[in-house]
Amino acid sequence: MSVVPGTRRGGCLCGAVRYTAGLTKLEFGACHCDMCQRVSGGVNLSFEVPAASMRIEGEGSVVSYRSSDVATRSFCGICGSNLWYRGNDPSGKPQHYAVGFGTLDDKSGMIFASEICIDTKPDAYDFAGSRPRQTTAEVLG
Amino acid sequence: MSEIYINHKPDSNAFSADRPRLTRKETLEKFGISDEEALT
Repeated sequence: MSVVPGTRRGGCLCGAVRYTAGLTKLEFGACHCDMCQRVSGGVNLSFEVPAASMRIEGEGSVVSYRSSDVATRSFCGICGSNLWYRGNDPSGKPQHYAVGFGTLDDKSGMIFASEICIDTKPDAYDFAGSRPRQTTAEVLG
Repeated sequence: MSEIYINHKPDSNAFSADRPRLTRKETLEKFGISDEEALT
């Protein structure tokens, strides 16, 4: 696994949780599923970080909520910032982080690469631009 | 639907369609908030 093009820093609103993430690609995506809408309070934008490439400071302030059998969502227990989503693997294999795009210190150069669960996006808004957009059924395959 | 602090939005994503879009300065002016009073 190669980590390019380097690392980015980020953290929550109050600064209690900080991270250094090694990115494999400068891409992020939107998930329009109902749970992501609720946990983000809007549109959930996130980028992937391999488990081995994520270093967290202030981990004691991270609160995690197992939102389903599929995944666990984490936020800052002090300021409430939505931090990341991780899959639940019964085997215990470390799962990648889907880190909230808004938590990045530097968002430059990041490409909005995909939208998923497009069938549950509210009609009230759309993102401009062209990119792959998958329905929930297509994502679950 | 409206958008505020549009000058803080990352270049990488944008909502489509026309709607009011205010910069931070315009937002503070609209709501009568001074620069010192604004938290962000």
